[in-house]
Amino acid sequence: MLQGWVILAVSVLYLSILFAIAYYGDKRAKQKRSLIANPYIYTLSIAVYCTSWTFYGSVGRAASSGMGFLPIYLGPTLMFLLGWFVLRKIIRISKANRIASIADFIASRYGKSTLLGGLVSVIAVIGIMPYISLQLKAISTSFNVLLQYPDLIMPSDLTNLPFFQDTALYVALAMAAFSILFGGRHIDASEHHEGLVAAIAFESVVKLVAFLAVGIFVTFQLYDGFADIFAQAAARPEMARLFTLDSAGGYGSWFSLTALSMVAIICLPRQFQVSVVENVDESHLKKAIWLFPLYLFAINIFVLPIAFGGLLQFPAGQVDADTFVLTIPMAQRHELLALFAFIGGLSAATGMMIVATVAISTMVCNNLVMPVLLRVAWLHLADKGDLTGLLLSIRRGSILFVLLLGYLYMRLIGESYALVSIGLVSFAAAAQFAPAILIGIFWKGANRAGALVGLSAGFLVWAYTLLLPSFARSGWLAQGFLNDGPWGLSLLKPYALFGLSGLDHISHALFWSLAVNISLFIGISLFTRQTIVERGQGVLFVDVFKRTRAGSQVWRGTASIRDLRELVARFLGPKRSQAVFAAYARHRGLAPGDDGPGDVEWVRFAERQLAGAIGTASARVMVATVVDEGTPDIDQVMEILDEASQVIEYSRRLEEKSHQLESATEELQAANARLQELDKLKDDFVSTVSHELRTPLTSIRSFSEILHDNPRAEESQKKKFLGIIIAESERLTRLINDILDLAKMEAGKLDWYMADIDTGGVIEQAVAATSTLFSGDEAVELHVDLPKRLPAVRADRDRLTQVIVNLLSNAAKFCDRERGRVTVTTAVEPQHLRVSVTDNGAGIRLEYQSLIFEKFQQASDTLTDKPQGTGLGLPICREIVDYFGGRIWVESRPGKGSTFSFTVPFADSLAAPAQVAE
Amino acid sequence: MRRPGVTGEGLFFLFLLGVFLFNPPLLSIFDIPRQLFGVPLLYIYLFTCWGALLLLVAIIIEKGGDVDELQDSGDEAAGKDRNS
Repeated sequence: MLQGWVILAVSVLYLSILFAIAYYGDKRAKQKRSLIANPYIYTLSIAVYCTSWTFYGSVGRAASSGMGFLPIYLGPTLMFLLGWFVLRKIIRISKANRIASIADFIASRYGKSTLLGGLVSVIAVIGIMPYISLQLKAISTSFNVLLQYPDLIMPSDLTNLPFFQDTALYVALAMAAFSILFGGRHIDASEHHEGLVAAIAFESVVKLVAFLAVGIFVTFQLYDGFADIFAQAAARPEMARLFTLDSAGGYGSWFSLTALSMVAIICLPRQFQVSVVENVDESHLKKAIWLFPLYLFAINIFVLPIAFGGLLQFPAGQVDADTFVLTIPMAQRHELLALFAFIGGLSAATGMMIVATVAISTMVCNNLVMPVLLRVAWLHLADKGDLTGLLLSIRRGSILFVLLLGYLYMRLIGESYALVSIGLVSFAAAAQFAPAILIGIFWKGANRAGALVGLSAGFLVWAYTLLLPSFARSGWLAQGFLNDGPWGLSLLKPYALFGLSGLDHISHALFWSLAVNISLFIGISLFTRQTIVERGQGVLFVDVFKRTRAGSQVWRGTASIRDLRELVARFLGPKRSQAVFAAYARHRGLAPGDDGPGDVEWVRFAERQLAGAIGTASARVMVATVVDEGTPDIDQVMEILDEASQVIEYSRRLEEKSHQLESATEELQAANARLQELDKLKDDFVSTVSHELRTPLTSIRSFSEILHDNPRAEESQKKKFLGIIIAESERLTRLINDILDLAKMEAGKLDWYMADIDTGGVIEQAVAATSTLFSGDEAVELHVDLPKRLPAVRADRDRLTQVIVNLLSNAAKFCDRERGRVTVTTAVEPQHLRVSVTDNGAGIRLEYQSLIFEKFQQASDTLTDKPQGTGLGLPICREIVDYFGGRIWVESRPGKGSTFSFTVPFADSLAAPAQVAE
Repeated sequence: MRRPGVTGEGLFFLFLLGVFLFNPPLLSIFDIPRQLFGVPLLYIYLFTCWGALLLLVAIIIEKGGDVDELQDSGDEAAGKDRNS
């Protein structure tokens, strides 16, 4: 039943379904009920990675190198694990900048360089276009093989059909129609092609199911499961060697294929198209991270069983392993399955062709044709009116051009080696984009010169080590070029450059091209300067996650909104231009019809709109034609300066704050240390006070006990004991009073009655109060040496008296036992009055002089001498004098007596009138 | 509730695990002409590791926090890696 018309009808039916799905997808998009806005469709669209090269080629590769086909799928699995760090960043950047292709991405990253965009486009066309031919050839071959049913005749044995009978031509034309209809309808190439993506997702389902169907048929129908196939294969030595990697070119090849496919999944133009440009929602990537590798996993499980099945079924060399997926069902007379396998291969091929064509034609149009047309002066295109028609025509023309070029390539090169090996060769070409993209999104320092030179050099090395040799093997160049090197220079042999041998051709080319590419890229970036635009774009790309708005971008000048709108209208059409400008004006809270001067934001907005249609580089050129990039006026300069100075001011304040915090911390630490010290002092104080209180209490208690236990004691003795008890009680009272006084003073709770006081009166009063001390048995002479008139001081009268009394009683206590002599003198100093009390006692040793003003410290040794006084007199004096604003100190030398002096400020040194202080 | 950021880190370490599993020297241990249950050891090893790795990725992603959490962690880790 597999006549030619049946196969044709089914193929046409299948392609019609594709058109219908795409049409439906676009219709749903118009109704805002998107068909593709979910992670599953997104994942399936990424599966465009699996082309006919996977569908037919994997089995062929497995038949000659065992597991050697697998790195092509392990690489993308690994890369997708890094999807959140790499792919998501690229998606975010592309959305923010309306990037429509990989050429646009690289051009935009390096200062919107037209030259770089053009270079990438050229590389893409040269590197990827043959890959499109490969798909066409696969369709043509599989169709012809299936047409011979039930005979099995290999494509190499088939005569070349005239082109009008060649299915590939019609498929190419159908694909061109499809791509033009669903991939070239928007002016803005960065918009989503929803219908196209829906169709691609459908194709991914078809090819997976078809391949699994063949796999299950071979494994479980033809053989008895995996073990059976492998067991039969193991019995044949030429197949058993495929069980290990020896047949696959060793680990070097394994590793380089993994790395190659890792970058290919990002850098192939069609992958960039589906996973970045057509991405509807960044969060869809989350599921795709594991679903896409799962798809690869599923489509690869049966590759090896099918390969072994084919090798076991057919005599060696009779059937091309690349056709096993088709020929095994044919040989088993399983017509439906064979037809299904053919449709699966068709879907794999067409999916790749559609996406790759759209991606490449966008590049060709936006990065090659438009920049040239806009710059050719005699066309005056830059001054012409509506360019939307021209733009769409170019876009559609380039789609047709790319597909026909692909077809031509296939017809011309035909069966030659160039076509067969082109899959990996294309990967290696796309890998040249990797340094510019992957390093460019993480390193701000990468610049245009580096990218340009690195990319060119890498591409040239690629062409020399892979493309030219493939021509040579096709007979287009002398074979000697391969074997002996050009002009017989063996060092330049393209497959063993500089004597590097032992690697397979792909690894060898990958090593040299990427080594040259990366080292020139980084080296030149390090040693050349960036322009301001490059620097700005670098920051924009690398910091895409940190930046909420493109706030401080490069100065771009201003233009009138009207000019901008008219410029955009020429590429997007007047209606659309009106709409987007009105929407943006609303967004910024301006009147929609405003035609006045537009600021930098407007210019940037217009440039973004244009970028989607004609690429970032051309958009920049076009905007420059209406923008006055001349000197910014003074207001704008001030505004920029203002913004900058605000930032500086802010950071300055921040620094100040942190300094303040630092010093506050230091103060707090000091305060804490002081608090701990005070706490310790308090503990000391409490224990000393207890000790001091216990001493008089002990003597009171012991004498009371004696009196109690000896009622018949002598009267005189009783009296003496009672006298001691009374004296000790008084001492106790005094001690407690002093403690209370001191505590109150220290707590600031004492009431002070500050007034202007006549010092002479106070001193006389104090002398009178202590007269008993100087008139007793011990002859202590007191000299009071007062001038007639002393100036008034500002103090509390009672407290001042207390100070002098304390000093006098101390002097009386410690002066010479035999010939005691105490002198009171005064001296008028500039600010205050000084009062000194001098005795002729034993004096105080230097080390005690500062101690005696502390609580419970006495100059005499308390262990041997009975304590005289409470030990609180001098601390109290110090508190009082401090409060008055004066100073108290002692001058003394051992054996020469001591002089206690204190100062009190004069009354008139204070401006305030007498008042009661608290 | 796991601490935030664990998904991004998890993915990164699974990437390292993948590189470790799918490359020599570990790979060479299984690259021998031996069969397990009649199936070549290398085939079993590669597909088992691949499947297990995907299972781990699926668990980490599906049980991980919402997208925002992932985004935060992604930002931090974004600077860390530069591959191939």
